[in-house]
Amino acid sequence: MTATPLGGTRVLDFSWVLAGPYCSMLLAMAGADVIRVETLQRADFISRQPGTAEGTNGPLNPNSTPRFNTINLSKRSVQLDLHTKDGIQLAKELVRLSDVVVENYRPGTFARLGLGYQDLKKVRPDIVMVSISGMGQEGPESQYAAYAANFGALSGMGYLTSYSDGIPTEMRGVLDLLTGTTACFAVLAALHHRSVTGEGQYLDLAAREVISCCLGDLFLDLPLNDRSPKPAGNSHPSVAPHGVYPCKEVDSWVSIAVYADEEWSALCAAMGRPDLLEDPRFRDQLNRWRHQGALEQQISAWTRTYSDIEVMRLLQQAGVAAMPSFSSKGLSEDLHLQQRQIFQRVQHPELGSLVVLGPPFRLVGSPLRIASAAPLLGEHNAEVFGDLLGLSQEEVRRLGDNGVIN
Amino acid sequence: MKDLKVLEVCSWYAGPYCGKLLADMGADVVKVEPPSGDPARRAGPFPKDVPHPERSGTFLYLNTNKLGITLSLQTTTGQKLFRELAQQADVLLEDFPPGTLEGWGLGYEALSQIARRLVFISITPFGQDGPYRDFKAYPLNTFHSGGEGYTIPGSLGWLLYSERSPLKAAGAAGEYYAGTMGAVATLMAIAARRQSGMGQRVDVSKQEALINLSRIEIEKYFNQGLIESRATRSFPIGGSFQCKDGFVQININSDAMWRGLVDLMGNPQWACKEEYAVREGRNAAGELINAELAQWALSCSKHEIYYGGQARGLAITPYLTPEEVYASPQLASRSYFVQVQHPEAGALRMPAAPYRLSASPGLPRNPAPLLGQHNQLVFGERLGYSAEDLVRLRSAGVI
Repeated sequence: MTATPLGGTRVLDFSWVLAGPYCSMLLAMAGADVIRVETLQRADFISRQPGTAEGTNGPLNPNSTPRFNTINLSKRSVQLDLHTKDGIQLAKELVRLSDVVVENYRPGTFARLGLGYQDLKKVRPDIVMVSISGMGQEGPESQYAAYAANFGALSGMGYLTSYSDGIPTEMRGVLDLLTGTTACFAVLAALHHRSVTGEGQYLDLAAREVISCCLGDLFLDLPLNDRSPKPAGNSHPSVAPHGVYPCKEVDSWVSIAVYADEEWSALCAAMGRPDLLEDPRFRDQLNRWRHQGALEQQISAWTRTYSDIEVMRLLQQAGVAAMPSFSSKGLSEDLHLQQRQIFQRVQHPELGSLVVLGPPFRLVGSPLRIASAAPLLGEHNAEVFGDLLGLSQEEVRRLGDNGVIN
Repeated sequence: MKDLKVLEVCSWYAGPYCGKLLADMGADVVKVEPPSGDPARRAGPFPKDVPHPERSGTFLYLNTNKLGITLSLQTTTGQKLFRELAQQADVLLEDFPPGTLEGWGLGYEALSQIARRLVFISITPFGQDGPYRDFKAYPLNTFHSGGEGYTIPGSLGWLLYSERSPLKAAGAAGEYYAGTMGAVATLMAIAARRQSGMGQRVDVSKQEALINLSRIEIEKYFNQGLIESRATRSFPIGGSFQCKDGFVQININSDAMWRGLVDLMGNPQWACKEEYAVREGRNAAGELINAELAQWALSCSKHEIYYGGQARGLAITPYLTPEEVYASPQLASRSYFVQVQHPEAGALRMPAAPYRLSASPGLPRNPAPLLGQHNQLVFGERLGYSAEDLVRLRSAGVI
């Protein structure tokens, strides 16, 4: 069986923050040679700068943070100042040797630098180029600023993620990584297309559009009934119990969902409450749904006396769907994830030994892997400009002095 | 991706969304349903709220561009037909409880004997092995097993509802995320096959897909001892604010953005404090500033703040309702919505695709299939069964 799915594929990653880097990291895990093109002039400050939320105007720091590390595993890094003519020229020479280009600059920026798709096609006709943005490459709002919470709000996800009597929810980084995952799928589809036709292409992803696609089933109430769906919290449109209940420890919760009558009987038996089976309010699915408030009280009274893991075990044993609302601590202690070997360690030259999550799925015949920690800024300048592009040491030094490799 | 032949035997959301991504991208996807149909046909929304198996909004959205056949895998003839279909496929996408297909002699071991190039993808809540392998999980449970639930709602939602339970993301979002990861896994296995000529087994655990999307938050516990929860998600300043007609999200990430926001508000006295000019000063007064922002926002409409803010380069967006998403001028100019015509449900305006591709557009062109709509095409033309055979199979309950 082959060593890796994407061995022999090279990706030039000009992206920063989360979505673009996660896209190219998935490709790196599959064996692609991913080269980050970064510059001290505009270092991936959001991620490389320690201790920030989502932005800073503090001093630039070329060293990694754990967040940068976990989104940039297994990649190489070179420095190029794209605001210099030589920098653009070198970037194009790297494109010539690459299969995929990933960028998430503000729409239009890359083209203005002379690195738009039409420019890159001249250098490498079958290049697959993906541009990721919040809003898309064109349109009246394409230049708008948006972070995860912003495009979560625009997509409808923020509004619909809410208690039925609540307020919209501020969504976060999961949406960035989802966008990166979707971009990865599009890149793989384009590579497949290229393997059949020899053609490259340009891929344009807007984060708000990616997320709205995950709400399509709910959205269909609009064309079908001219009705705009409303938030429903943890509840279900037709079955109950279906919710998240408090457990013994502080801020500890378990999710329970009961669809079928047999599951309801099993739940009552597991709770030691055969009387609930006789209660007319809970006798059948429709009545359970109607009286879900009362149901919630009965179940919470029981779950409060156990830990989340105890409830999970008791109910799963009885054939009832129950899983904790896992915290990161709960996941770190979880026996299932340990057995699945989800948590791995990498050695980072400056941050030391760090735990990272392994690949998100298993290709049994050609496993994805983490080859190394994230690169230091410009760590592979000599390798890439020297070995790959064939520049002499002299030349590389000169470019460094001139602020091109910077 | 016309050359790619996918056999999808999945139900509800995750597997079918994976199949939809492939189908909308041009792959030939044959969806195998039991004779009673994918249970998603019983989920709404329905036109006028009248349930009908050919008019389920959930099914209609998740199964565009697929060919639909019926097949009972419990019957020996059904299993035989399935083997024949698998032999013609590049990809098998399934989401049965682990061990189910094996029990019918249709597991990877058996099928790879007759189809060495087959990529066999299983999407299950917890994967093909491990202590939770046989656990039962509906979308609510799977989502909360993935770690994101524990952190929502944060910020203002947490301040208002700290005694309430953690929340799942809207609808079946977690299932869509898992389906997307499954689609990535599928094409990686196909890429591997381009080099090796061989198929392989792919094990997608929905929980593992979800925790990967929360990797940054989860790793903070291991590496920094910090547990992210609903209580730890607030920004020092900014966040969500109520307006006259809904909510906006205001992210203030630089001094320039702060100055722009002050300008948007009309340079009120309270905002012109010298210490607020720099981040540290603003963060230290976060609660005070947010209280003022909240009061200001209440007097504005969300779109007023949106366009006024963005004109000043501010990361401010409204929380759009689904109706407002459908009415978005940006999405209209992007041709984000496509009208799909379904024989039973009529014209369905829906999101077209999560990307725009210059060479191989990923637009749903064809509606979701009627139950068994392509039995003749697939069993007849592709497998060579006669019309009489099909009648016999039908009355025997095989298809």
